[in-house]
Amino acid sequence: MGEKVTNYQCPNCTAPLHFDGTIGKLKCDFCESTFTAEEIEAVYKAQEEAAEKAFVEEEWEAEEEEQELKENIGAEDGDWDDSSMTQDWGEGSEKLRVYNCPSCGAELICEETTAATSCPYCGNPSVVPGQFHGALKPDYVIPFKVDKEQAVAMLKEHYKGKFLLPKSFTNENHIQEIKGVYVPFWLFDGKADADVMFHATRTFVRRQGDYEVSTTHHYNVRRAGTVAFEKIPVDASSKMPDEYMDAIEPFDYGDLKEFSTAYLPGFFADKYDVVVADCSKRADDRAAETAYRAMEDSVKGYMTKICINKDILLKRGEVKYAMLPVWLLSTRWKGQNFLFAVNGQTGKMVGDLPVSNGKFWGLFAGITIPLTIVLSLLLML
Amino acid sequence: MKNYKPILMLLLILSLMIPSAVFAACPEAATDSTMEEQEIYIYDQAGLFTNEQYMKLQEQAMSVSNYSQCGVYFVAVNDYWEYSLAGDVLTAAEDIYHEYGFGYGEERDGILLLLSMVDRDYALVTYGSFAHAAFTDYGQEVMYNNFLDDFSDNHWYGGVLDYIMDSERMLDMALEGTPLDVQGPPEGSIYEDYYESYPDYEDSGESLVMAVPMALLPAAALSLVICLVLKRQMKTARIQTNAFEYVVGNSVDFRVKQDIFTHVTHSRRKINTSSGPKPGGGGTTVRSSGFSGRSGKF
Repeated sequence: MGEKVTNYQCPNCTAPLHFDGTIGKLKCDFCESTFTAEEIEAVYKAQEEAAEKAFVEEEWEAEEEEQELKENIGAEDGDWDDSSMTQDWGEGSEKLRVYNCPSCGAELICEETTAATSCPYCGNPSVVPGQFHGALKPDYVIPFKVDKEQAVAMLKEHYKGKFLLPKSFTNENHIQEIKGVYVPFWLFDGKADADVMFHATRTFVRRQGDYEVSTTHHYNVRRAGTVAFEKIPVDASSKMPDEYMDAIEPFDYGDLKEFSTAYLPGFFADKYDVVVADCSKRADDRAAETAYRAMEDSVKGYMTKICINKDILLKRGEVKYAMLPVWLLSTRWKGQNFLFAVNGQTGKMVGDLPVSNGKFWGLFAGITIPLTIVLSLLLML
Repeated sequence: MKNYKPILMLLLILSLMIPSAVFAACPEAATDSTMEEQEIYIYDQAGLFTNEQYMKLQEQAMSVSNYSQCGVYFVAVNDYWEYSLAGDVLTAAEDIYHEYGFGYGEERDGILLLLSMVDRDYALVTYGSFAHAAFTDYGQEVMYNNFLDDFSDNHWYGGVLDYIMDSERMLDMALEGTPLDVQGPPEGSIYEDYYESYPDYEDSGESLVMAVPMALLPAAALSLVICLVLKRQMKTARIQTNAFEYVVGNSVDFRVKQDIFTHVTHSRRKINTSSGPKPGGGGTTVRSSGFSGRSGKF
């Protein structure tokens, strides 16, 4: 049985290669040679195909073995009875896969969705091309542009200017883990047809003696039209928090490239584990809201506008599968984990920070007391 | 009959021209005539007083007015709506003041108390700079307290008499150079005893006690908003609700853009320019109409 994992090694010196986002090429850690993704693809095409084939074959074999096990459960005459031994490795073990590192031969125990990782023993970047075979192959990838050092610097920048951040958080917390991950996303195309009715008013106020007379003109305002969308991203990994993946948007689709595993070495990658049908509602909701807002924004020149009827019809289009770059940084402070995500292309940083209660209430009192004094003096005048 | 018509026309024109010519030639005569018109100070269209009461009040008001050169007027009507379309008793009092030509001198200084009996409304208005100086917001407050007690008990004569007497005292103090205001009557004034029971207005300690709770709530609300905005900035991971970033360029295509006028509505509200004397403050609040004063129920 062939290897299911591919190590991308330098064609010059066989040292591990990793994708360097800052130069957009694969770089040798040892001799510092650089190669384009296309060059490496060409070199490793045969190896990748073999790994993919081995992956598929193993899947079939695993299915057959499982079937056999079910049929022959219990001891046969003359054999040792190992039926009491559990086949269960614990909760979630059925979601694990075991690969062998092509460099050092160590066993890599990965989740079933893992598509790119690194060997914990020799540190070589490892890609599982089989995770992307056939229909599972992503259409696009956006390569990393932000490197690890930049991501760490961005986290420190993220702390700056946050008055409510506990001082000890900046001083005491340390980055526990930082990893660059290609996160699977579904990209939805489509069109929304909106027909919205508003009640709008314009009010004119004039003074008549000691009275303020208001004259309000009422209108029924109707807007109907279509809005086309392209590539609304929805993350397809159950492991990624949706709010983080939404908040690091937008990605610049100008950098979209046809998918190649050559962009993966040096990073982690998972294949999708949330299917299109389970993600589409999020894209639908965003498209509908945007279409409504586009109609609403065109109602101008009124002082009030209230929606009284809204019909939005979605015409769903093509869905593409893309791997988008994200840096995940986790820190720990006072027994709590804090997760931060950086858009690996644009550098946009998101993550929730702790709030110091002392600072919060101190600030509250610091504003309230002088403001009360000033207002009291004004009232007494 | 036909021959008399030009003569009748001539007589009519002459009858209109002669008084104008006389007033134009003799300004004093015109002034006298105005004085004649202004000699009525008490208008009792609601039938509140006996003849004797009316005469006493009229005499008293005229005496005060002539002495101070500031008209002191009282008008009682059945329903102020008959005098003003503005919809409130204060405006009705202002309209009556102008309509009846009230006031003394170039600035037409005067004070008018109007009672409207149907809904028991009252309005007290002053006009002219001397009247504004004499009847401060605090002074007007003192007057209300004095006459409202009587009117509430249907003691019309006593109430109007209080009004005239208070007017006299306040005008006198103004003529002396120190109108009655929040600080009370001037030290050693013969009116000290009359107004010693209203010291609250200058008690700044109580004003502070009132002002701090009034200021605390909006200050705390504003502070909380600022703190919550800062707290919100600590959470940056949020679900996206729109997809504007992914709208295909110029793809927003409207097929209907329709704005149809349906109807018009009107509303109006009173501009709150007169709010009575401020605790701890003095002076007179004059509205854009040139009047100061206030209204209410008795």
